[in-house]
Amino acid sequence: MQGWNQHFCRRWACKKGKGVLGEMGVEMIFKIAAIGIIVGILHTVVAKSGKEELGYLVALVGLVVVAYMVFDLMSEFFDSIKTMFNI
Amino acid sequence: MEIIQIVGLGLAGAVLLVFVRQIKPEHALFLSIALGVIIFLTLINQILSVLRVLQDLAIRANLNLLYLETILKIIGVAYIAEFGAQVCRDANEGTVAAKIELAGKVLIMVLAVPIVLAILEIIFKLLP
Repeated sequence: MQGWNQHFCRRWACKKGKGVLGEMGVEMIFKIAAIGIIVGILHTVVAKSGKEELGYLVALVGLVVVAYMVFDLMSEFFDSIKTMFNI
Repeated sequence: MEIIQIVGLGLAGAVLLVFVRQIKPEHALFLSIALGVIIFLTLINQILSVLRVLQDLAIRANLNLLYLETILKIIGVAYIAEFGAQVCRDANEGTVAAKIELAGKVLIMVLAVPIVLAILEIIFKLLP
């Protein structure tokens, strides 16, 4: 019990006495939303200027970047559940 | 007051989701996954304290720790399966969600087999 509490504290909760939401959470959500909006606008602009395939490439790259971030987060989530419930 | 933070994050996330879903629906899926994971990670410390109390009670009541461990495992499997199923249902993939739920049920059944066996053994002992 003690060991994994320290693990979580180090990773998430006790950074400068702030909760997860204080630093990491809101930042992550806004980052993903910003990437989504920017990529959407870029896709529209590039596609409107006659380069369809470049537009799809932009959308794909944005999706991969977001997927990388979210999969990082998800591995953290599964790790914490695995240690928490001793699976 | 963590609840205010969580509700605020949820509302902000919902507003952003509505925006992003109009522009790029596949980004909205990732955004909702991240929202769910972050809300869970915020609750970790609270869940930990509840688990510690449960373990304390089980030790004090001289329970076999195997049972508590099985129950915790079942809760973990149920939570992960529920999460995956919700994400799939969010993406309008109801069939995949149903499969994930089926897998969760089967795995929970497998985890519960030792307890069922223990109960059956007690019953057999009671019978003459």
